[in-house]
Amino acid sequence: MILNNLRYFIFSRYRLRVKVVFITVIIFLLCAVIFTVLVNIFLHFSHKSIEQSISQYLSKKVSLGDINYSFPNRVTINKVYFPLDVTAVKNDFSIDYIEKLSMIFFVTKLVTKHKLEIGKVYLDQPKITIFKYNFLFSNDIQWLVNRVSSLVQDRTIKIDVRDALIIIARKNTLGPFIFNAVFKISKDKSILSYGNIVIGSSVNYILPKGKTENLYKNNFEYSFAGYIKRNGINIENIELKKDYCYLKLWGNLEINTLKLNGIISLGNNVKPGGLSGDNDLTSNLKRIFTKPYNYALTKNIINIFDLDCLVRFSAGKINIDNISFTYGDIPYLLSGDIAISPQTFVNLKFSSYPNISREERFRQSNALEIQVAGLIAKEQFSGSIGLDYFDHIIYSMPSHIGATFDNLRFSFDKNMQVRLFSREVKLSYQKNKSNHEVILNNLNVFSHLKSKKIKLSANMYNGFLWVEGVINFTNKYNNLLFNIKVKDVLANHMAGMLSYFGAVFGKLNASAVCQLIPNFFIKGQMAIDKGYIDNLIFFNWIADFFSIDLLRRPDFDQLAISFYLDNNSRKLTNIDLNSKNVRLTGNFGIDSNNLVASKISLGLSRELLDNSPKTRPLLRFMGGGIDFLNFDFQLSGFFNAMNFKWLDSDFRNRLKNMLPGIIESAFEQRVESAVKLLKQQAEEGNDSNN
Amino acid sequence: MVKKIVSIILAMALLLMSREVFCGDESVLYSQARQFAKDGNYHFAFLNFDSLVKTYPESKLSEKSLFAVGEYYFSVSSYILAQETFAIFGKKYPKSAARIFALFYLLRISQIQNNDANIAALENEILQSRQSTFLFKDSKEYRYVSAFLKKYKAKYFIDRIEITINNEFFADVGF
Repeated sequence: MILNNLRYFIFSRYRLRVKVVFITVIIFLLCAVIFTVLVNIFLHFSHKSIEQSISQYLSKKVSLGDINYSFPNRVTINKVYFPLDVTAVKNDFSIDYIEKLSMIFFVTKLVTKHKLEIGKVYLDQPKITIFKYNFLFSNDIQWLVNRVSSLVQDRTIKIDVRDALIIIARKNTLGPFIFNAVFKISKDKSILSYGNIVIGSSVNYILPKGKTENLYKNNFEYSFAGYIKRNGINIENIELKKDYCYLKLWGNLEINTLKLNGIISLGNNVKPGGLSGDNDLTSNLKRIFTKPYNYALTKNIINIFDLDCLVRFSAGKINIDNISFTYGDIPYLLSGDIAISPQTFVNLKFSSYPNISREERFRQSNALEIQVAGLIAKEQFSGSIGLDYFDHIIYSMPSHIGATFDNLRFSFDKNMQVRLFSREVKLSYQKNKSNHEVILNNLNVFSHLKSKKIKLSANMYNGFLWVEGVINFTNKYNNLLFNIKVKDVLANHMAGMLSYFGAVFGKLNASAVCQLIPNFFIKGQMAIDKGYIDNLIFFNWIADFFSIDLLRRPDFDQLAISFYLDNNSRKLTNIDLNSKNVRLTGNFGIDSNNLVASKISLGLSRELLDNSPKTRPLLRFMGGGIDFLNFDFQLSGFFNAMNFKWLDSDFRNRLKNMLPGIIESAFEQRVESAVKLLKQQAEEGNDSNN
Repeated sequence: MVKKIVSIILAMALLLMSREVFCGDESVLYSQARQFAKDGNYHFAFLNFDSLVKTYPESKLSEKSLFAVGEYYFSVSSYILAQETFAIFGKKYPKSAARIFALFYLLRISQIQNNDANIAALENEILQSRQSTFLFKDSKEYRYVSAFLKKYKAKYFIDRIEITINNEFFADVGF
């Protein structure tokens, strides 16, 4: 009985406690609910005044959706609109819309100090439009330091941006971007940030909530750790990762000077998992301050461990003092300027062996220098791109390939297709002292990088040029091979490519195969229909020798030639010039030592020979029914000391039998003098071309 | 007084005679050398040619003598000395009819020494030395008889040059 009473007593006390707690909780919840409801009612009725206050504070009209209070310390504003006005385009960027804005404030500070201090901000799907790039560089870092310092003061603030949409308000540009990031700025001025950026195609500008999955292919992840100093930011760590690319940087940004050191790794074996995955602060901190990636140093990887950058910013200008690194034991340097405002202008140089003289540099087999200078306006580039590279034949003097563009447009899409268009391009090639150039109009280039194919078409000297090729760079085999077709091009306009074209008039059609890598050669055929030759040294010499003026400017029905060029030789074969009074067939070749090997057959018509008193006597050597008198000869030896041989023929033998010895000798001397004169004129011609 | 005059006349006569002797020495040297060469005494012939070159470097006979000195060095396999001699010959007598033969000697020496750079340079120089025109003949010949009485012949074709010495093949260069 006593026990029963004891049990009853204990149980009833327990029941009382539970009742008290339960009632307290209910009362508390009721109070919380009542409080929440009251605050929400208050917010509902104060909606307009809150809207006006915010508009006044921001100095621009703001439209707010529902404002909700969640107990104990969260305020959420839905559908925040910043209507675009005409003044907006004068700004560098604008925030157009925020789907949901949530703020968490410190209850204790509100209660004790009557101060509304915000500790966390969540921005869901904000939409930002960037009108000009230069806002990033138009102010020095001090403005950012001051703004962040005033924001933080004596508290820590966290800003969480989810699915932000960033649009660049320009046609045919990259974007839009989808941005997820967390920023944590502590009262000790340290900054932590991590997140990812996705680059989309430039088609849809609507909120991409449902489309983010399609864009994950172009996903960049980043993390940042640093702290704010008096006049800048100390960057303890920046990491950037995308699939096969990893970049780690550290340094500082002071006033307007950015100094960074870093490492880069490019290749197929970078294992994922570092910046992506768990998105909480602890996991990300661990990843940042420990080595996040395990990657094998295989031959597929490019690793650079000594990246060193010094960049200065001024109003509208970026000066790259140096971005240097070493790869494959060769030092490289990028330097130059990029002007952003009022127009975008670039002047950059990238070279190997930057610390030695230019002459010494181009004694190295890996020497190269790339120059880019020009204007970028309305998404078009007008300027020049040049490449100087080591010439294995002439040490210390580089060969040069250059291109000058007028209105070059470039696009690159997610399917790895590159398109290029330029209204006018001047391509030049310089080797030793010889220059070659060609001008193309309406150049169209298309390349599918995955299939390694390239197609090109252009207008060239009143005709057309088509090129199809293969670009293949693998570790085992590198190959650059093109098929070229040319149609109805005015031959004499191609004198810039090869000076001898300047003497040939007519419409040229040609087809050729050209290989640049592994070793250079070009071979093909060309034909010129219904044209003429004017002021070609060879025909001038023939005209002088035979005293036939018509030979200075022979017309032809067709001139056909096969050609072959490589680093060691130049050959013209199957030469066939066909006209009413002149026939020319044969071949002519010259090698890298300037040694000539040539056999030519020159046929002159009866009618032509009859025109000259010097050659009229030769007609009696022509039998009846023969319309052409042929001279077959061979040239051999050095270009500047060619030997000449009249090849065996009936006509030659008959003439030899007829001529006395003394006249034979005199005739030979005359030909010798004429050949020397031809050589002299050819040398003068080459000198003037150079 | 008379004695004085006689002494002066005698002294002048002696001087003139010595001049006469000295002016005739290079021809004498040369003739003697040629005779030695004819007789097969090549060493004595060389000594005379060498002496002539050193003593009378500007003499008209110096050209042939210098070539002969080079020939001798080559024949006794003193290739370094032969090389130096023919190099001097080529520079001193660029228009000599024997220059082409001197170049071929230098080429042979370079081939013996396996000096590829020199071989290439000399071949180029030989091939550029003369431009030939062949209208009614397939070749042209140029002959030279040295002081050592060796008969040199250079035969030029459209694409090569052949050298024979005493009708024996010595060397050739082609394109």
